[in-house]
Amino acid sequence: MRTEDIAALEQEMYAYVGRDCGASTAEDAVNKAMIRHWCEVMGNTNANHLDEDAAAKTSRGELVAPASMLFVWNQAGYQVASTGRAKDPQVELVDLLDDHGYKGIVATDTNQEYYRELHLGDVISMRTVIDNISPRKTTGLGEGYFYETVTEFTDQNGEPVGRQSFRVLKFQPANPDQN
Amino acid sequence: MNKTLKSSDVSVGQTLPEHDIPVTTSLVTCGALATRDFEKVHHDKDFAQSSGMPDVYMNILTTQGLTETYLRNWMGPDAILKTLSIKLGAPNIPGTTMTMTGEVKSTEGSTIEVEVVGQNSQWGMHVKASAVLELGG
Repeated sequence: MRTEDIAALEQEMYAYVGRDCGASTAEDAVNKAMIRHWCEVMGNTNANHLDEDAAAKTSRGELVAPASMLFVWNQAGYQVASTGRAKDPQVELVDLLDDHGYKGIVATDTNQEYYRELHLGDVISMRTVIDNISPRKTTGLGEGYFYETVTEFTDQNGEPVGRQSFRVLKFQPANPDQN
Repeated sequence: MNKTLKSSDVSVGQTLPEHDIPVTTSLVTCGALATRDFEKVHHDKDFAQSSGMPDVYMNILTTQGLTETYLRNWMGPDAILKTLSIKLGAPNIPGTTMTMTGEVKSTEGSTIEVEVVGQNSQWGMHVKASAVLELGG
């Protein structure tokens, strides 16, 4: 890629830093069925996730959702497969890099912080922002850029319940024949 | 599942029992559905192959869920997971096995930090996680 093309891409790309990728509120409140379906596949047998009576007798006093379900409640659902994700600045950023030949995509890091455990009936909202985009990097996969989103999760009272950061590498495959 | 560990049960350098997880098409696709992740690369083999992968591959939310469950089985029912930080490596492709191992990295009162590694039998390190846990007293 020519230097002036890189400069033009970077000017357009870095304008995405700080862009708000929208907010959503979960269609389903935290509920026993979704927790049980998750636990079945993960092999998680903790009664504190599955049995309200048992959970009531513990230090928690009530049933709680598995912590890493934090990002499950607001997933977009089957439309992702059937009609595709709705456009938002993150989707546009990925499209922009695709159009410039950075077609490879791989998630590299994700951090979740849980401020409190979630209970049955909690309604989770989330808001995602494009937090930062790295300088151009040379990686084992090829030349590219890391971008990081930060998602804040709140409950039905607007109180923060968790936070997630998510880092993705968009790269120009070093050997395009393999991609 | 263990009884909930107390801080006196745990010391730096202590290891968690090794645990093998067979990576099957069922685990990959059903894990994606249970975590509401409908990206085609996790349930549609033809689509996954058109994106350059040999087969469908495990989504991150399932990796997180399996890591949480591995920790849960060791730390016991009442411990609380405070943070889960994950570095992702090689993909989990059906027909392989992911071997989970863990080690206590630090302790401060009832708060401990554990490192978990999920090693794929064919592709190498799938996940390296750092978790902060609050034990029972």
